[in-house]
Amino acid sequence: MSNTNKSYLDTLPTEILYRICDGLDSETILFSFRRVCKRFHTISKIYDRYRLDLCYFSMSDLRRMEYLIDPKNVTSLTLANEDKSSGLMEYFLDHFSLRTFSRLDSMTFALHHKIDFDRFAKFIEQSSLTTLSIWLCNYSLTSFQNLIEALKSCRLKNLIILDRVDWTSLMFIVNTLTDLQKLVLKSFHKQPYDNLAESQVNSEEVSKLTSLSLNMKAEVEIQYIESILMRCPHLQCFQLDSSGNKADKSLFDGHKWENLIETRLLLLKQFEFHFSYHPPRFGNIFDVDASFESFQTPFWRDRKQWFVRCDYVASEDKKWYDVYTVPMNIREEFDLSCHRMTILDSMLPTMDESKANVVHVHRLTLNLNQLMIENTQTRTNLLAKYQFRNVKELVLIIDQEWSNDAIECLSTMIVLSNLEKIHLKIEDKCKFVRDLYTKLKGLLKQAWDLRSLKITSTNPRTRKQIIRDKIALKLSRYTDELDIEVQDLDDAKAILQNEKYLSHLTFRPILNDNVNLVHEIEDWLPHTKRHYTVESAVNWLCDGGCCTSSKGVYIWLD
Amino acid sequence: MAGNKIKLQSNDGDTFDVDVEIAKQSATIKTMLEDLGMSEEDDVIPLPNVNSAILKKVIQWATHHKDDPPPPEDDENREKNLSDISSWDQDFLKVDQGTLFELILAANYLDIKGLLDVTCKTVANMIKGRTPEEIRRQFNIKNDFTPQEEEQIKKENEWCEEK
Repeated sequence: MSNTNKSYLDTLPTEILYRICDGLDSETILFSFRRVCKRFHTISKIYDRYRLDLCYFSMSDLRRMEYLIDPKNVTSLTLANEDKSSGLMEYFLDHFSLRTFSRLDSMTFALHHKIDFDRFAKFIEQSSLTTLSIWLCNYSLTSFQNLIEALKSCRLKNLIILDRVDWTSLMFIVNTLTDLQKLVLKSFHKQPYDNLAESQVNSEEVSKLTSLSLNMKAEVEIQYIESILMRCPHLQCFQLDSSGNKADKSLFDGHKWENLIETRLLLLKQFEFHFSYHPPRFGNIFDVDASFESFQTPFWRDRKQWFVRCDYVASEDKKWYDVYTVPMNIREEFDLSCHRMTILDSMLPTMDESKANVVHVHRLTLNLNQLMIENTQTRTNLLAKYQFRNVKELVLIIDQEWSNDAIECLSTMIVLSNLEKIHLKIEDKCKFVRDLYTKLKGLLKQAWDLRSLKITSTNPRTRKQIIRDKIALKLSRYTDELDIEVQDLDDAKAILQNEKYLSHLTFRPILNDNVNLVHEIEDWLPHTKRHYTVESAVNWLCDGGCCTSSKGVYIWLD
Repeated sequence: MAGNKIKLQSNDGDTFDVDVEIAKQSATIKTMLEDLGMSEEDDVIPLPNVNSAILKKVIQWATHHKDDPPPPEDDENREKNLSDISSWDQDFLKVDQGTLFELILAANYLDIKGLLDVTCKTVANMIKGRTPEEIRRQFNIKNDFTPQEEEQIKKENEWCEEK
C-alpha cells in the first residue's frame, strides 16, 4: 500500500477532527492546527470544546485569545495551578467577562484575598459549572463558607479542593452541598479545634456523594473519617491516601473498616487506600503483621476482592511501611528514590511475578543513578518491576552520572511525552553538567510536550556552570516556564537573554533570605523593554509533615 | 452465552468468526444483534465500510480489550484524553498512516469508543509540539490559504510569530 503522497488527516469527518482536537491543548489548536489549511482554520473557529489552561499563556497570548476564541466555545477554564500567585487570576478577571463563558462546564481557580469575591460568587451562582477545582490562598473561613453557600445554587456535581481543608470545613461542605456527587480534597487535615461532637448536625438530609477522595497531610483518626462517611450513605467509591505522610494507627485496622463498610456504606463498590506507618524511635512499635492480617478476612479477599500489600521503605534518614490496596491507582506522589521492598501481599499466591506493578501517579520521584545501577542487577530491576501511568510531573535526582542510555531506560518506565513538568535536582560531583545542553536535549526530545522545567543544584559551581558559563539551556519554544536558582542579578540577566521564548520565569536566590536580590531583579526588569508583571513567589516544600519555604521572584512576560 | 460465535463479513468478502461478547464492544454490532433481532448463530453480519485487513486489526484490538471496564460517558470523564496510551496500544498502533486513519474510520463506523479514543489520541500526539509547516509535511496537507488569507492569519498571529 503506497501512502506516501496521500493525505488522510484533512479528509476525516469533522466530528472525528473534533475528537482529535480533544487530545490537543488549546495553544496547539490555536497556534499550529488552525494555521495548517482553510478547513482546520474553520474548525478551530467552530470547535466548541476548548479546554483553556491559561497558566502557561504569555500575557500577549492571553490578550489576543479573545480575538481567536468565542468564549461560548470554552468548556473548561484553568486560571491557577500550585505554583501561581494571583496575577493571572486578577488579570483575567479585569479583562474578561466571566459571563461570556456561558457554556463553561469545568473551572480551576484560586480563591485569593485580592479577588473580588462577590463578583466571582455571583458568576458561580449563575453558571453552568458541573466541576470546580479551587486553590485556597490566604482565604478567610468566612470567604470559604460564603463560596460553598454560593455553590448551593449551581448544578455543581464535582468539587476538587487543591489546598488545605480541615475536618470542620469538610463537614461544612458535606452538610451544605448535599447534591454534590464527587468530592476530592488534595490536602485534608485535622485541626486541634476540630470537635467530633459538632458532627451531630440537625439536618435530616444526607449527602448524595457517590465518590469521595481524601489525601491526608496529617494524622487523622478513623473516628473523624467515620463521622464524615456516616453522612454519605450513597458512597460507591472511597479513596484515602496519606502519600508519604504519617497515617494514624487507627486506620490500619481492617476489622474496623469492615464493620464500618458493612453497617454504613452498603453501596460501596471501590475502596482504595494508601497508609504510611512510620515506626517511632521510642515507645510501642505497631505490629504490622497483625494489622495486615486484619485485611485478610473473607470480606476483603473473597467478597470485595480488595487486595492489600505492604512495602518496607527506607530512605537515607527514615524508614516506614506503606500499606495499600492494589492496583495502586490513587497516589498523588510516588518516591522511587527510596529503597522499597514488598514484604506482605494478599495477592501473592495468584500473582504473576513477571508482570510489572502498574502505578497511576501524578508526581514521580526517581534517582537516575540508582535506576541505572539497579537496572543492571536483575534481582532488583526497577524497570521490570514498575510501570508508571499518567505521570505529569517528574522529579529526577541526579547525583553522579547521566549516562547516554538513561533516558531510553526511563522511557520504558514512563511515557515521557505526557510529562508537563520536570524538576532536575542536580547533586554534587556531577561532571556531566558541562554537557548539560546535550543531555537536556536528549530528554526534551522525548518529553516534547513539556511546559515547565525546574532546575536546582546543591553545588554552587554546578549552578554557575548551568547559568553563566555559556551552557545555554536552549529550551524548546513550547516550554513556557522555567524555575531556577540564581546567585546574583547577572545570572537572571543571562537566563532572560538566552531563553527568549519563556513566558513564566521564577528566580530563586540561592541564599533564601536574599531579599535584596529579589528587589534588584524587580528594579532591572524595566530595562528588558518587555511587558511583564512581577511578584514574590513562595514555594513550599513539604516532607513528612515538615514544610519549608523558599522565596523568589515570579515574572510573567509578554 | 459465553463462547457463542458470530460471523462478521468485510467489504471484500472475508468472514471472521468472533466471540459475541468481543463483537459487542462495537455498539453498531450490539444494536444489530439486540434491536434488529439478528441471530447470533446463522446470520452473517456484513460490514460494508471495513476491509478485511482493518477488520482483522479491529478484532485483534477488541480481543485484547475484552475484559476492560466500559469506557465512561463523554460528559462524565473528559480527562481520558489526558491519560497515557497503554504500551500494548502503542505497539498495536505502530502502523502506517493509511492503516491508522482507516482504523479511526472503522472505529467510528463500528462505534467502538475505546478504539476511537486511542487512535484519535495517537494522531493528536503526532500533531503536538509541531509548527503548521511540520504538520503539513507530516500529514501531506496542502497549504490552501491565499496570499491575502496568509497575510490576515499572520496579522492574527503577530504575537505568536514574535514568540
